[in-house]
Amino acid sequence: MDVEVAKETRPPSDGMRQLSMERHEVEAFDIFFDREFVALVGLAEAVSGDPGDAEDLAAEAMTRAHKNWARVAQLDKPAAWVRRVTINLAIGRRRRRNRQRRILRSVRPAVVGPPEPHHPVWAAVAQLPPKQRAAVALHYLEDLPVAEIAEVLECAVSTATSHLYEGRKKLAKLLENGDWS
Amino acid sequence: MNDNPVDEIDGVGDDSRIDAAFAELQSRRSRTTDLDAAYRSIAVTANERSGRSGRSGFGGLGILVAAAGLLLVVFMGVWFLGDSNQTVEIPAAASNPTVPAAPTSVPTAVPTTVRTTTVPTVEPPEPDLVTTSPLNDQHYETPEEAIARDVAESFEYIGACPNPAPPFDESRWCSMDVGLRDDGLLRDFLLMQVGDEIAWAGVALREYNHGWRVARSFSIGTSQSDAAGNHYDLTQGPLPTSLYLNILDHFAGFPELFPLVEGWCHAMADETGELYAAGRCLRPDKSAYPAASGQFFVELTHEDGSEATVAFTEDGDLWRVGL
Repeated sequence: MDVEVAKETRPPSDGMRQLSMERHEVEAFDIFFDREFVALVGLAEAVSGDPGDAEDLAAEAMTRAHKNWARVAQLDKPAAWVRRVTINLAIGRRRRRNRQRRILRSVRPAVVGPPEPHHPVWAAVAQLPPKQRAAVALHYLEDLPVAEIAEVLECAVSTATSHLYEGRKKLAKLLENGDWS
Repeated sequence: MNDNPVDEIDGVGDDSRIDAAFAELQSRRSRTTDLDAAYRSIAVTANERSGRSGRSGFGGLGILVAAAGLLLVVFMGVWFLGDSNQTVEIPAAASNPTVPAAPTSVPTAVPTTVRTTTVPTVEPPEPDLVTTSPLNDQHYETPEEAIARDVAESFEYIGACPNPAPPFDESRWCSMDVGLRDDGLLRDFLLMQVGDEIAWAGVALREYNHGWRVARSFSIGTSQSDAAGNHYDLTQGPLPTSLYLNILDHFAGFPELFPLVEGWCHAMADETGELYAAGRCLRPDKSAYPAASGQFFVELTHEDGSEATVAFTEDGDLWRVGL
């Protein structure tokens, strides 16, 4: 599936959609937003592991797309760009929170972190390295071929293949062993 | 294991539970995501960041958002640029008589395009520290809590590489030099940004229990030279580390800072977030500074959200870079 035509488009819904851009740019951004946003939310949740953060991360990615729309719209695949931003934001937030948690635990051992995911699949996904998590999410959520996963992750096809292969293999092993706690 | 993953990628890890979990996620998000609410949220955020009025913004919150944006800009301006009429006491260590007085001209090692002025007033440098206290904490904390919070806050803060004030634009790249205390903890940091026309740099200083303050902020020209005399256009990265070592020399012109830190470490990302320059941790005399392995690291974030993490070895050399 081509990331450019991933979702059915919705027409602009109300008068709030008035940008300080040319009208055709406004319309293009609106279509882009309507087509991509839900998919970005799902991607953000899968990569960050935090349902509560997902919409915020997707909105931040879309805000950056809006800010840079004149340039982003000229890219061959704006959808790949905004997915890359979403993944980077999700990885960054997760990393930052983990670090803060470690720091706090070092001085306050009683600090309780966020609840671990109960679903075994998400518990297993959470154990994957970031790029493997992203590759697996793009594969299962959007059914992207490896070449397009490579475009989103901005890496060589062979690297994306490796991320996906290793991620799926590790997922299978974790689920098989029940080793997700 | 097959050495060629491509041959085995289909079928690897097949598990109906995985398909079901991702399908449930996708379905749930399709049902529950409120597109219009999300759009309005993005509109408000975009307006806040651009400072646009409601007439030209794409949200309907016009004046309110513009006012909030203006307040934000003013706050950030005060935060980063400080008030040149206010001064704070230089800590006792800064009065070390062995340290020469702050020069009022650019150090000779720095090209003449460097202007040691305060942005945006373009005035001569003040010898005293400029004060702001954006993260001033009033409540009591144990020393351990204060250090933990400080590290967490500082990394959160520097990770953003914020746009300090109009018209500077973070859309090019930003860099960071981090000052370390002798126990390896972050003491202060320099942020530097280069836009289309001008570069900006500022030093934020952590006074423990007194919050962050902007110790120095200044604009620099759009071209710089390295020690070998090669000229570089700052608006056209990537640029060599040698250039930034030269810029680092600039801070030798602020001797009041160096009694507070052992040295500076440097890392830089380009506009995609890729790290392209990282240097040793150096003392003012350019000798390597021993940052504790694994204890010191720097994160850079750019507009596409990508980050670079840099860690340094015990002898101050680059240890690890990751994205």
